[in-house]
Amino acid sequence: MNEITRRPTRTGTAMSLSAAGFATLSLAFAAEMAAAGALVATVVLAAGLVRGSRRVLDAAGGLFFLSLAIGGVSGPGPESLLLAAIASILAWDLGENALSVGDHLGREADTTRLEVVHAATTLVVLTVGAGVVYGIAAVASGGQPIAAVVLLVLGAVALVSGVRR
Amino acid sequence: MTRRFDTQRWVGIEGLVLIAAAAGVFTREPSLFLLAGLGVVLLGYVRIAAVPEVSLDVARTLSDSTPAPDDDIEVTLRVTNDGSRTLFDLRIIDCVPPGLAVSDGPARLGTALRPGATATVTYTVTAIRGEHTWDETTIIVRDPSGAVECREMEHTETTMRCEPELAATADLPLRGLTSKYAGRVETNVPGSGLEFASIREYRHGDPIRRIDWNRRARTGTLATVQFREERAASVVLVVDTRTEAHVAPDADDETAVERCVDAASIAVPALLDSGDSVGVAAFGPEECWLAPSSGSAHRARARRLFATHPAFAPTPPEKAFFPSVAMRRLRRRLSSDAQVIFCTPLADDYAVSVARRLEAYDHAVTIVSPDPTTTRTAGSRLARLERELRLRELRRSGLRVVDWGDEPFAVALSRAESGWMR
Repeated sequence: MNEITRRPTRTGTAMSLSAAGFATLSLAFAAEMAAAGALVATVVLAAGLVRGSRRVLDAAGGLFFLSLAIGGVSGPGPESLLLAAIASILAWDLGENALSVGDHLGREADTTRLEVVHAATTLVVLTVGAGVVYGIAAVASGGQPIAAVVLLVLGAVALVSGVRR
Repeated sequence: MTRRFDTQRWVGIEGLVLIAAAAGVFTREPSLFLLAGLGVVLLGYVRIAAVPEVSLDVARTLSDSTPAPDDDIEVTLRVTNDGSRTLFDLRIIDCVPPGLAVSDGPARLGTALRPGATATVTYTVTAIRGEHTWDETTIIVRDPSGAVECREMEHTETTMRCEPELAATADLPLRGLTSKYAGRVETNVPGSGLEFASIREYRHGDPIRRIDWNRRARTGTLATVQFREERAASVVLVVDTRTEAHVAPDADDETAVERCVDAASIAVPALLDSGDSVGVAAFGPEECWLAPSSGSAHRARARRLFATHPAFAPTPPEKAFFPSVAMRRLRRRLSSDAQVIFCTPLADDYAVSVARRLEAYDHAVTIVSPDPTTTRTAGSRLARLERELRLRELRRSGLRVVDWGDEPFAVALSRAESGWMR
């Protein structure tokens, strides 16, 4: 007894893999290629959680991004793409959180509350954010010059990066 | 003591946002701009995140602060959020004193705390001899996104004192060196006592009870019967507490020092009960000396000493050790009629030389040696052989040795006793 198992927590692993599965599912209705990519990313994510490796988790995050980009290009509805994006960001975030909690507290400690709260806040922020983005896109759809949109994104990134912590 | 730092969790999000936007420009696909937009939202969430001022109240309670050895003690740690902001990500790690083992439930918790709310960590430790102090609790707080982390040490001192009862479960036979007081060690000095020694010619003043009346009837001359006189001994228990003695067969097992102290705390009451005066000394970096004496106050002092003196702590000492200085100090303190019971695992040759030198200075030495060796690997078998050679060398030089393996101390003692010459 009382050896600390410094591995990703079970709760976090379960939540992360569920989110990854949901991301794969929501892409599957729109674009097969993207869904296949998301499936590979899910497998890599699971491997990263089993091995407890941050690098593998980040690789899984990259693969998710790639599948989302493919999904965006092959043109499913923006709704399912946003849904998949929320789910995949959540999957990576919860996986990484499970890794760090496991590293700090070990598998035996009770961490359910911490991880559920973390999942809930991330989910709320992403859902509200996606709603806002979708709303803006719906209101201002059609007719904008592409350069304006690009400059908008660039400006937003620069502004947000400048915010002091 | 607070440290705040960036966990570098979300590094690279900016890059992904720009790549998504660029891909959108390239393909003229609006969905990709939505992706980039969601990325910007996430970036904003991460950038505005901050850890609020952490103000926690930590309280620790023990189910029993003066337990007996091997009791299970429940430790309850209550952490209350005194601040005005919710802590979304709170990780609590209680630092258990070295030497104590957690037997049930981890001393760690991850939770979220609203202002005024209390989180409770409960775990069980198994008490062992000594004074144990809890002090630090590590608190790790992260903001909801996990981008900023803040570490703090909360200091809450809680002390548990575990004093074993000194119980005489085995009688330790002593050697012939005695003081001038009456006791139970049989000497070769003729006088009053129980065991017959000799008969000598009657001298004026001999007690009438000891006149050999049979001989008087047979031959008509007066003779006096002499018995072996019984006297009390002055004994000093020297416990080897050097780093070399902190050895155990397995990482989870009792160290040899622990077992030495166990043997000493069996021997002290046994010797005190038989009227001998008993002292205690530690041979190690941490100095400890209790001069030989007797009585119930002395017994209580010895008990307190074994339980709480840092010299007998279950973890190896950190101070530097100067063996020749310690040896000289010990010799100066030992009175000339003091016997020595040296408790040592004999894990190195220096212990042997200490025993032989004390014997050479006429302190009749008895060695009590708990066996810390195993036969698992070639190295440990070699260590066992070396220890056996040391035991043999000591026996050859006329010292009494109790080799104490896994059996109870009394069993080891009676086995050793059968091999000793009276």
